[in-house]
Amino acid sequence: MESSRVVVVGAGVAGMSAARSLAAAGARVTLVEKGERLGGMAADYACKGTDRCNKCNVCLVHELVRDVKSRPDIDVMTGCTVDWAEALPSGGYRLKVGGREVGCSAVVLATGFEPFDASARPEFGYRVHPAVVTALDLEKALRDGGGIGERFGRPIGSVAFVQCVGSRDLQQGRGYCSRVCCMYSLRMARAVRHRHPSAEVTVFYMDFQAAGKDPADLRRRAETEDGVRFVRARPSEVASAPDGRAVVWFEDLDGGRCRPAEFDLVILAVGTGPGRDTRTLADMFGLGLDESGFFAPADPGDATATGVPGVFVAGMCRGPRDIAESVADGERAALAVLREEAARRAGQRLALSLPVGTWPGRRVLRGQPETIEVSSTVLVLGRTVEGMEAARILSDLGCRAVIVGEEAHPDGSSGLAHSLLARVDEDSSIDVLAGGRLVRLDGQAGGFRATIEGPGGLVSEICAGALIVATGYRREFPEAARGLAGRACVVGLSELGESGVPWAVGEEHRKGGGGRRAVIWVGVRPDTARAVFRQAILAALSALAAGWEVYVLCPEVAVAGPGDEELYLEARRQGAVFVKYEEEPEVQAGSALRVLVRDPCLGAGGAGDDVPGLLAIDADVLVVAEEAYPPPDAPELARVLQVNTGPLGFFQDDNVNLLPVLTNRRSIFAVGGCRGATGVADAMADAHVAAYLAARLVGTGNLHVDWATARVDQDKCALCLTCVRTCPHRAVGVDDEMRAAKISRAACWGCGVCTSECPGKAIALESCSDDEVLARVRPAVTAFCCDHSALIAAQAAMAGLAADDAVGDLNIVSVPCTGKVDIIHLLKAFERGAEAVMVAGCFDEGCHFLSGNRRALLRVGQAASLLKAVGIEPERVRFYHVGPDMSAAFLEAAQETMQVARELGPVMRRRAG
Amino acid sequence: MIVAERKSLDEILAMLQGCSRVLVVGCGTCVTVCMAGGEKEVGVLASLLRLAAQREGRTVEIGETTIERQCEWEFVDGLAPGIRGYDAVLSMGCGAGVQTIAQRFGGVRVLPALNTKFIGIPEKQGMWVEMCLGCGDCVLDRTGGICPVARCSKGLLNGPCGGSQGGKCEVSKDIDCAWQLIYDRLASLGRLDLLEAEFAPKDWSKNRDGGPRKVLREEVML
Repeated sequence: MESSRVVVVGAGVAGMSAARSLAAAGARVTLVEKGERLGGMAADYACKGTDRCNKCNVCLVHELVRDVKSRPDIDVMTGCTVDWAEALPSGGYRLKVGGREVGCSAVVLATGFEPFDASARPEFGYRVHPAVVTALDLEKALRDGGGIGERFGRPIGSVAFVQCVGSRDLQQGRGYCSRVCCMYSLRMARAVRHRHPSAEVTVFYMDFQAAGKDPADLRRRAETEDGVRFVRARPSEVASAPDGRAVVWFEDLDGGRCRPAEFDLVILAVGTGPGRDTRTLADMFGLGLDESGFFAPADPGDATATGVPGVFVAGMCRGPRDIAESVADGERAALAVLREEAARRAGQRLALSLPVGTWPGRRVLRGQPETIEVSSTVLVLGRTVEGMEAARILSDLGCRAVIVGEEAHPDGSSGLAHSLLARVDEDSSIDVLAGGRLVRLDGQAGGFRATIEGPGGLVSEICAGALIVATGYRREFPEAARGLAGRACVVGLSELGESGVPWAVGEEHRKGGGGRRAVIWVGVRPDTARAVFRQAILAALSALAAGWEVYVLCPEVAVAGPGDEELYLEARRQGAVFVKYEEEPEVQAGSALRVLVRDPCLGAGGAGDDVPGLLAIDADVLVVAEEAYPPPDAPELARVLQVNTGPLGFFQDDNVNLLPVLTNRRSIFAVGGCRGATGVADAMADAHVAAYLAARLVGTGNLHVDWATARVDQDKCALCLTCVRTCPHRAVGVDDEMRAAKISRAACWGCGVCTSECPGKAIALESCSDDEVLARVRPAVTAFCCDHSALIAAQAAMAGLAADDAVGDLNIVSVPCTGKVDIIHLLKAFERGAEAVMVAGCFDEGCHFLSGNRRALLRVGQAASLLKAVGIEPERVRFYHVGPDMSAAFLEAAQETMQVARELGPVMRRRAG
Repeated sequence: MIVAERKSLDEILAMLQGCSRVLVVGCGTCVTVCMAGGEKEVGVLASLLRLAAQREGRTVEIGETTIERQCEWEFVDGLAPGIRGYDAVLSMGCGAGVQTIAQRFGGVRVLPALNTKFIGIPEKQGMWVEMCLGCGDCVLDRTGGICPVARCSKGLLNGPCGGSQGGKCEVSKDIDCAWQLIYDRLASLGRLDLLEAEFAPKDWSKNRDGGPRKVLREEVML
């Protein structure tokens, strides 16, 4: 890629991600943006952190903008469009961009989406009724800080979200789910409640479309902690009340009638549609569009490829996806560009460039450069489709892959698994140790030594530069259906196989000859539902085709994947009955299967029934969708790998900075089912990104470390193991020869947590030693700001106004992570005359270094109690959570701290008399 | 290792009353590892002493230094230059460290900043527990590697008392009954037979009975 240029069109999340990734891999990049600034639509979004990180991922956008701006190898052209494109005979394109001609070997289109124009649904009163705003309006209001009521000139005692405005709406030609609105409304509802604790929030929704690690937990928190009310209804109209409030008309399931409810503010959760330029660009490059107008994939297995050589698509221009998915899509597009380049130079090894400071999403201080020899072998744990796909990509990228473990495949992937098994088998760069098990892991990133126990107790050692954990997941009937496992006429959804499998499998379970009625029960968690609902609908369709009567029982219809809504509607058209239950169905024992389930929609019709809306379905076959759980050996494997697990016990912490595939240890990646991404498409996307990152890290056999790392003064080290235990990234080991701690430069993330925890002061962080921090502490109110969050907010806040007017003389001291703030730094600031000190960092579970902010919170608490012990007011030292886009929140925090300083005055008392 | 804990600031400030020049001395061995008196804690305490003085409008001079081990003459010698210029030396070593400095520098006021607690281990980060009393007559071979002298609240040698309930000691629900632990451990080792042998009354002459103890090894003496 030495001299190749890649043009990325669109500087939104996916475009910036692709540009950053390509530049890091050695390409020269031209990033073309129609607007005047970087960030695309997401630049207007607000961090939705409350008391904790709510995983909205908006902080990633601000980091991307800063990363892209700081790279000289990305040529950014704002205010420009692609006027024409000409394919060159030698491959590649010549483009006319902003009056300039640019030659390139590849083009990545990342032109984003267009939000639905809510005024196209006049019955909702947008731009007519002052109480009606869109979710985008609310994003901007949240971002700008201050009261939401004041912003919209309204009281906000009661707030309603109306979901699916311009989504799942055939009348508007948008017969698809926009995928992101349920989660953004949920997070916004929390953010609104956080700022206005007395506001009552109601969400009118059709089906909850989940995303993320543990969406059920987020919803539970919204319901129990914030009292957010979820009402299943699709409002028909928003009218005006005489007092100026908005009246939402909706069908009340309990009463079965259309009913009004008044609100102070109504937020329309507008959906996403194809961008305005999609059609033009499709014509220009000869690309296909899907029925909804998004770029259509040419090959479902390689989603960013278009079928046209040298042209790739990423992000929302190829269909709705959230921020994390768009970041990953950018990485995948970059990978696709590189693979095409490699294929073009057939026979040549791919010239991957060294990953100079390219650790994704992580801006780091520069340190003493050093090139470390690493192993370019990548160990893949798990012979799953995601594991095999990762190995295949690694082989393409010039790495050797060793696959260890048992077979395990996600639902509906057996065909894929067979073709992958064959490809893996014939690839000489891939070795397979079937039935092997990792029992011990020594070493660090670039130089792991893995001890594998094979069948029959045979032990072997493999040296690997990186590890990809792809151990899959375990399927089991959901708790409510667990007693049914193994019963006659009850079958697991995954046993039915892929869509092509004839429904005959049901015949075997069918009792007698007469009945042909199937019940498909999808009673799984929302995150599993997202992955298996499509299988359930495909099963329903094939049953219908075989002449069966089909009932699908589920708490929600999950249709966020591409084409899922169409399939769902098709199943309904063909007569499948969907029952969205609130209470778990009951399966009565006996010779026949009788399923009792209450359909709330039928509530009014059940007059005289004991239970209104209760259905009794005599089923010939009951198909149960299995719940996804972590593999049984996950806790033990996590211990061996020293990799953290997150919600529900899946691999990877629940931290947005790790998405999609990073773990707390550098160069150990978690992909697919083992991290909770149980759908085949998600698993394959994971495999691509992980293989790409692993290859970028160790693919050349040399790892160029130029980021700042922590270093141990081994003479001073008492080997107390504090650093070994507190390092969030497990980068510290023991140097047996020196009898001292030793930090792996390849594995260290450079947060500085160990330096502020070491009781012997034997560790220093390059470029940010304690002396350097203390040199910046002067006699003034001091704010220690995390470089990844509060500092960005502070800079934006200070740029916008005469800072002295707003907050006075505030001494901002940047640190790579608040975990770098030592108790001594806090005390020294007071010693030197600060009247108050604040520490501002990421939200809980949002720390870029995973847990540095928790250490900082402990440190601030410790400082407060120590100050109190010597007679100094503890409220002089304070901690604030500030997201990178929260300049208003930063100003508030700074003003509050300055106020404390003014009220309490100097620490030093004048001598009496 | 020896585990210690910093005294309260009130107590430290009271003992430093009238001192305006104080040298805070850390120790780089046990108390560094147990996070009570290493270089970092020296920095914290020195900073707090300055802040306390500032608060009262006094001026003080607080020196900071940390030596490898306060219980060795050679390392303590390193304090010689300058130590006599201070009104007091505040040792962040264990009791042995405080006394070594005091003995080496006659005429210098040496004060303890720590309470020396016990010989123990960090059961987990931030929590240390007592493991050994230094009784001078180890019985761990007979008790499955669990010490009844240090870890039974009563130091019983022949099985638990009536206060052992559900594996816990009657002194506190937070204390495991040492004899329960011993029983479980010996059961898992298949050595419950060891419990059949009686312990004779403990010979406390090897502990405090004979006054301060001494270990003398002529073969390594100079």
